[in-house]
Amino acid sequence: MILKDKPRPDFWIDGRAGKPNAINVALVRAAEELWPRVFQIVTYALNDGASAAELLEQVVHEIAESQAEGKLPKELEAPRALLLTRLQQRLINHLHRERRISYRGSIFELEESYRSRSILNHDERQVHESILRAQALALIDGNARRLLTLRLMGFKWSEIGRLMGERTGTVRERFRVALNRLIERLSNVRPFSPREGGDS
Amino acid sequence: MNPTNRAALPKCSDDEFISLMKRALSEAFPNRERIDCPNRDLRTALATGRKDLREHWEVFDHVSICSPCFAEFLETRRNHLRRSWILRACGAGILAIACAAGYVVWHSGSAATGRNSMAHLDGTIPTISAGQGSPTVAQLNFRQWTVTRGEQSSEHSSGSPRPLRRGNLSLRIELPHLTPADSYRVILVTGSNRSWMDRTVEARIVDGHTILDPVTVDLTHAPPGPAMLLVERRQSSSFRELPIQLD
Repeated sequence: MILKDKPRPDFWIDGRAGKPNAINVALVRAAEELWPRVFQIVTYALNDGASAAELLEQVVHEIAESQAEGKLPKELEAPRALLLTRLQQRLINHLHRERRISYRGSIFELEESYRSRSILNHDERQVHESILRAQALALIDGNARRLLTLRLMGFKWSEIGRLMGERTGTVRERFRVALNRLIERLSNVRPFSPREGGDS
Repeated sequence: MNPTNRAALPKCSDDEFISLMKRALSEAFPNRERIDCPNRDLRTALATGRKDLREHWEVFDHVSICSPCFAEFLETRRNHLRRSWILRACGAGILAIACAAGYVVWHSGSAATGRNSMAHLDGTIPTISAGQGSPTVAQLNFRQWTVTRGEQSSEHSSGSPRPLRRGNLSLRIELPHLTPADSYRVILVTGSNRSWMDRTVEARIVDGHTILDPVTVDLTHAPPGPAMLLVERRQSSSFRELPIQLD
């Protein structure tokens, strides 16, 4: 669907230049559901809630573009998780860019700053890596994602088997496959397969 | 390739990777104002297994994209498992203590019973060697035993020796007719002159029969063949010889 054919969400500002991509209904619904949280996150991170709508809209367009290019599937398994993690990435980049622009100091210090410009500090790197991992998990198909998350939450194999309606051995096997797929995604040059998406 | 992607690859074990993923879900979805978070009681009930997760997948899906909820869920679940473990450990400990106490009581009771039995045996049959199992009741009837006195004033008994099957025996001996009730020394000897019993026993008259109180003797290892029961009345110097045939 093209967003312009449907009622726009309250936050939508149509700030994107050029021809808009087709935006999936599920993606718009997820964006609408997440809007209050996005506003809160952006307000806290940038101390500027006014940027929230613009940022969320940019993320929605970015995902739609990836879908159009075949980097992400047409039907997203966890659109809200994907939106949130992409928004977080964008926020980190935004913060990093702001810091570089507002840098003040001697020439020597400025050169040092340029040298380390492409390198995030330790805390930012940790958060960024966490976001990438969460994003990789969000792009695993539904059942496998639930299975992985249940195990992350510390459920026993027998409990997971009961909840998923499968035998314990099968669940363990499927967990192993899902975990390998997740590790593979994070280790690939392109972390997401063409069908399921790529890095933006 | 974005360098952070390469950094996101964990060179670690599965457990460490799971730990990294936990951290990822605890950081990637901030929600300071807890927007859209499900009821706390419901989340706790799901984390502790009091409610079935299959009926609340929407809550689970929220928890997996809300870092504060995810962290709380993990913490609640960890505490619940810890409590369960402690309860199980306490239960096992109490059971072990109960078993140990039961064993001690049983062991001390059994030892006391053993001592009582020995004391009882010591007091009642001090002169009798322990036999195998409880004694078998046997009767020796000399009521019709007659004595013919010869010219040399020696006794000649009449009748055949009374048969007696060897073993651990409780003997009920009936003395010859008209033997007075009194205290008698009773000795049992075999052919090799080995004494198997030497006891003082009371004789009582019951319905016109003179009967010695039961005496216990272990003849399990006595040689088969002729034996003699010597009965001597108190303050008398002569024995009455009553022959026995051990089988």
